[in-house]
Amino acid sequence: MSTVQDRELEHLRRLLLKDDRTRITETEVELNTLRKQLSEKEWLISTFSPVLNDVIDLNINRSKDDVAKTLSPVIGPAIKHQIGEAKEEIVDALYPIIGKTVRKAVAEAIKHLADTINNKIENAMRRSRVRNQITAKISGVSPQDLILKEALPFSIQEIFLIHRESGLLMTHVSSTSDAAGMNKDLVSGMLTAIQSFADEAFSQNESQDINEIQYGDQRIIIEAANSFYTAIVVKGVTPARFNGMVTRLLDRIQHQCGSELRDFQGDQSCFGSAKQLLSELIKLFRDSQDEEMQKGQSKRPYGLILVASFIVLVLAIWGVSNLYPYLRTSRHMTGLRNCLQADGGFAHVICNIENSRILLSGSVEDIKTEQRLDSLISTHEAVDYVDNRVIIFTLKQSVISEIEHRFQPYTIDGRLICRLHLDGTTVILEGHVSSRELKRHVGYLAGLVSGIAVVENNLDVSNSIDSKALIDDVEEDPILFASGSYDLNHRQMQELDSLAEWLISHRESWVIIKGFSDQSGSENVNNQISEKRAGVVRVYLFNRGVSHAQLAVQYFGSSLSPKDAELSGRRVELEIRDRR
Amino acid sequence: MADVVTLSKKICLLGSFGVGKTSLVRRFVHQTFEENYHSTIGVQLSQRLIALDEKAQFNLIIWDLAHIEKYDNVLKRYLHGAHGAILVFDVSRPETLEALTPMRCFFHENSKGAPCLAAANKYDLLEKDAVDFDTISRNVEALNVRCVYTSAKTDHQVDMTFRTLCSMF
Repeated sequence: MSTVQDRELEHLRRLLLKDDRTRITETEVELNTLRKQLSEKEWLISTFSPVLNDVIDLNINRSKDDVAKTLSPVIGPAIKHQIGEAKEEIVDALYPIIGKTVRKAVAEAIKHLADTINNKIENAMRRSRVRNQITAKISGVSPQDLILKEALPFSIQEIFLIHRESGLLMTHVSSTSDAAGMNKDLVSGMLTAIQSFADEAFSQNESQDINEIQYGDQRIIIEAANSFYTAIVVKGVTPARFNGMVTRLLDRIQHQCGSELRDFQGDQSCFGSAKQLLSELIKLFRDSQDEEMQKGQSKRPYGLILVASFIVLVLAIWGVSNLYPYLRTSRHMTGLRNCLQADGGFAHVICNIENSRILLSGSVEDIKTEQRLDSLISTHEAVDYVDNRVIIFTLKQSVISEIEHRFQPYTIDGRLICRLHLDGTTVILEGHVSSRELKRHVGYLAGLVSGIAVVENNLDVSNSIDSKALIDDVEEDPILFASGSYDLNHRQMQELDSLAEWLISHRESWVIIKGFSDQSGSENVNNQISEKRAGVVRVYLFNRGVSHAQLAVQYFGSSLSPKDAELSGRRVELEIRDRR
Repeated sequence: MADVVTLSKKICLLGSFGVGKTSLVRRFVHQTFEENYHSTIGVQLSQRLIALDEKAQFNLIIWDLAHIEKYDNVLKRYLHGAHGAILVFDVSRPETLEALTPMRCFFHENSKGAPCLAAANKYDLLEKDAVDFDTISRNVEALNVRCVYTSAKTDHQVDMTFRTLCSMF
């Protein structure tokens, strides 16, 4: 009975729970499938990613502060750690992005500043506005740029590309030939050393670079990239666009020579393309300067033409008013001179034109000749234009008397040492003297004679001193001194006079003056006295006209003196040398 | 004629006060020696080309660094990028050799392991018998660098010291 009941109960349960069981089975299958999918990362990403961003956005918008509070303790250190681990890579990666963003922001700020300046310039320079507007239209440049360009010249002198870490020069270009004398490697190293020092000495928290160094009218503009920097030596006022151009240039160099810059080991030859880019920058500004110069040269110099025209006009008026009197006087003078020459007695009368008048100067020998001259002038057609300043001068006798007086010390056996010829107011000296000094002195004396206007000094210097005999005498006979003395006696001075005269006429020769002492006394004292002895001889010769270059002094104390000959130890030896 | 390849190299001279760093550089670069002592302030730069063979040469940029008591960031920056160093000491002052140990470490830390050698300078000051070669050798061995006995005054092995360093690049 119970079995039957059980069956029926089971049947009833089956009928009642059939749907539930089916649902449970299906749910279990679905649950298993879901469990399996949850363990698969790819499925999770593909499933949740479309909605996850929306969910995060929603949550961040709802409670921004909470999210920041939650994440900041984790994200901050993580970024810091990552930067510390791979600083170079992060800088390399971010440089192109951040650099551009920063540049864009800075460019916006500069543009705003430029607009403000432009407005001010526009208001301030109205006078040249029309001309500038026209020129700007033709050249395709803004009028403001044109005004600034004209007013503020700018040129690049040198550009150095320098390895930032080692300070070694990578490449260099110059616009001038002056750079040839500059040691570019040392300049690069020193700039880097200065940068390093300034950075460590002055920057407080973060690393900073020197941007500019000023030297006179030149400035060194420094622009740094990641592994290198440029030092640009400029003159003048930097154009607004210049910094932007340099930054773009650095980008291009970084792009073109990235691997060479990173792995630089001192080889400068691999920066040919960088050098080309730097040269282009120099050329760009040099060309603009040249254009300006050409423009300046091609301008019509209206002011100059006006001044030149005025000068020509003045000269023309002056010429008309002065030329005729001059021509007239010149014609009269020619006629008068012919008359004087025809007479034959006026050899020392000179004709000249001065202030459109005929000036007669010079001398005649007696009063009769002077009267004849007056008569000749009074009958000549030029009489109204003549100033007569001719004097009577009995030259010969007075000159000869004075010469005899002045040259008294320079006679040998009652005869003058040279021959004198008088030609009017000119004296001609001929003959032989023993030195140049004597020649000069005789000429000077002749010039002092009254009435002598010109001295023709034709004296020959013929040195009568026998060179070989003099050298032998000088070298073989030392100058001896008393104990402790360094005074020269009269005979020694005479010998030195001869030597001085010979040296003056033989400038290619020179003398070594060697001072010695005997062995009595200390070494120090002996050295001093030997120096003084040599010095006395040197000074004596110098005072006689021998040049410094011909005199050399050596002193030896007692080191080279013989022990048994005290007198010969106290000496000065002379040695003649020849430079030829 | 083939072009000569030139490689620029940065060399630093380190050592205590008055060991003759500047004199070594002056002898090497200008072939001169000066008896009077002038203290170097900061850094002094010199340059000389050294031919390796017919096809290559080194352009040596020599950083003669003044002695400083403290190994600070300025010295550290000066050493950056150096391709080699000469550690100079005075054979007549043993303490200058002892001072090289921390300098050697400091250079090693800040130059990415660039080569260096020691120069035992002022060799002329001592009679050969008076030089304690054993002690010097022991201390130099501790530095783990090669040592060259030099004299800037008599030009003893100065050129060779720089050439030896160049051979280690």
